[in-house]
Amino acid sequence: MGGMTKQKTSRWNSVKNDLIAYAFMAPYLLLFVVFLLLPAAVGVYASFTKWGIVGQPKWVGLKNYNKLFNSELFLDSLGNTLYFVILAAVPLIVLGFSLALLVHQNLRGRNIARAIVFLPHVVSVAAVGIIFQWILERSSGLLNYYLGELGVREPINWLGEPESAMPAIAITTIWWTVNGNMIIYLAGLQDIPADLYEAARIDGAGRWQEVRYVTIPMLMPVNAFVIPLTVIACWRVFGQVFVMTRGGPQGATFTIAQFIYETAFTDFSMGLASAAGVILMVITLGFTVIQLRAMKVI
Amino acid sequence: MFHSYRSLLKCFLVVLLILPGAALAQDTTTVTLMHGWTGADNTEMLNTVFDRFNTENEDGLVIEPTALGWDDLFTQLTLTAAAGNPPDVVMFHNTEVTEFVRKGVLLPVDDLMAAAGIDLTGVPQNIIELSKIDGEFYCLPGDLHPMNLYYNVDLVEAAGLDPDSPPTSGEEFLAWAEAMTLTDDDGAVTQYGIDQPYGGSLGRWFFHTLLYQFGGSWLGEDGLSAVDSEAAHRALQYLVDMHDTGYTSRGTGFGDISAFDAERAGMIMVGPWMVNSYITRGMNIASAVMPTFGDVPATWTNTHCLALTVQDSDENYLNSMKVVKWFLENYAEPGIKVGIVPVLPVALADPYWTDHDYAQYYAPFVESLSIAVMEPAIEKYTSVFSFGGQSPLLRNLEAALAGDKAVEEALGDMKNGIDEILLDE
Repeated sequence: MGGMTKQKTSRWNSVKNDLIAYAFMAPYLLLFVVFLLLPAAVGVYASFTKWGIVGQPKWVGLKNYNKLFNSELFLDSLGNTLYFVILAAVPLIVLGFSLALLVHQNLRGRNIARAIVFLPHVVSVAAVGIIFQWILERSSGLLNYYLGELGVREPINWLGEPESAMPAIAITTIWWTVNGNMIIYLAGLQDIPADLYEAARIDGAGRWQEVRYVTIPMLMPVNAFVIPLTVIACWRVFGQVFVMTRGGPQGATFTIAQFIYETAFTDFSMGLASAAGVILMVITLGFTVIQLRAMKVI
Repeated sequence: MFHSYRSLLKCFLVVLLILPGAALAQDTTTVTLMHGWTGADNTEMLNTVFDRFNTENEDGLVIEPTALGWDDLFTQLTLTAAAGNPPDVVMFHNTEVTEFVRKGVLLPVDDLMAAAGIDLTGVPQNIIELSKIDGEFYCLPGDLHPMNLYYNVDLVEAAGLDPDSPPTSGEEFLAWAEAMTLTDDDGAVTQYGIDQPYGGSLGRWFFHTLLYQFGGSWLGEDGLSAVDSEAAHRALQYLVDMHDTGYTSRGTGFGDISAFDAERAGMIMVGPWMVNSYITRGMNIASAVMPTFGDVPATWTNTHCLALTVQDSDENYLNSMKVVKWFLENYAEPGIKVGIVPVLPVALADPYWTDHDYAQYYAPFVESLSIAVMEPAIEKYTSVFSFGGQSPLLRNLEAALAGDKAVEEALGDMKNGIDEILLDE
């Protein structure tokens, strides 16, 4: 009898704890549902319709998807975005980690160094775009001026040539956002117990071996967070492209996010834009799953 | 309730202050106005003009403005119209009017113009026609902002040229460009004759200018693209050849940073909105009518116009039209400060316009109103004439100028791309 009462009390306590937890989560869940889940669901529905914002959506089945996969423009934007991901994501992760290692050293002035490295992160995308437009301008830009001083006679049209425009945007992005990854890696580094390094040193590990056998394995949970987020952010690249090249020259920097934006808000083809958005979501989801599987996180 | 007479007095004073405001609020009528003149200077300047209207008008009308970037304006106008609460008045370009008329956003205003006493006498007929669709007025033209030639007087003089005799033909223009293109001992260009990009807005507008100068047009009689015409071939070939001379800066055409601004190029072709910027920077510039490169004089232009939107109730239409009338008649100040040329004779005769120090810079722009040609105000204007990377127009123009496509191939692909947009349901 006493056992049953105890069991009931325990179950009630468990339910009560769950309810309290949900009550704490409720404000976030409400915002998540209203501003993320619901719009995403509407977006998926809209992708099967023809809809120009004004008027009622008309169901067209898979027509939008069919149109997208037969659209040279969309396929180009996919290719351009993949190119950007390759150019930017790897340096963002490797450099973020390297910078974190650097500013983690117990050196004089490291707090100032951290602040300086983090500083570009607070600049808005519009300001970053305009500054780099100025730096990279062909005839009067700073970069070509200094290259000229170094003996490069023919000015490079960084943002005006299809071959150099995307690398220029990738470099801009790396300068601007690498510090975000650095901060996360730095937090991860600070969480690694010092005695692990001490044990490694007792076992005769050198500096590189400490990084290889202690730091990197201990940062796996951080990698599981940083790598997918960086790759997703790269797939969604928009602001810096929009400010610096508007997708040119010759469409060489025209990305999926810009395709979605232009299709939705220039052509007002919301159904087609939504279908492109769904494809982008599937791609990023696929990449994330593959990465997490490879890292044996899931 | 009140802890002291002082507290009571304070409350009394607050009530006294609020009451007249409340009474005043009841006597005023708000006219909402959406415009795309952003940038701190433009928005602030327009707000001072609106404030003047709010103070001067005797009908109790109050303009409530909203400034948005052009892309955002088109989106917001569509969205607010769909939601049933668009602004009463919208200021944008004539080229976008057809698109919004077809969407049912804009109101035909012939009767309201008459009721408000708007007089367009003296406005050139070609400009009046721009405001009509199927014979009805859907907007009222406020200004034109044609593309013309600017040159750096110091660089012109340094090249031994006469700044009082700017080029009027393609030959003279190229001779100036050659004289102002400087190289160092190693042959590297240190100063360009022309600040002319491969693409972007400036590239597109200059191609438009050449297209019409060589007798071409964007659309054929079938309503489809006519950029595969002989005139278009000549225009694009001329532009390719111009870049091949090595006198051009070949930038991207985006942003405000250019070789001309940095005084590393002698000439640039752009609209009147740059006057203030150049003068503020202390540049010694002059302006001239667009030279004739082709067979006939022509130059790119667009207009700003004011339109009324369809509302649930017609009670504010006349008030909105009164705002439009006042604004058109008082266009001189925005004209000078934003850098646009008013089209109403009363605004052009305003001493603010005629006596202003900058009048000399605007004179060639006024002169070129008669040769100014707009891009066609078609239903899919914003898609066909987009500045974005998806534009088949820009993509192929840039490819031809970069030498990545032959002129014929570029124009063929341009036509196919534009036609695809025009035919898309």
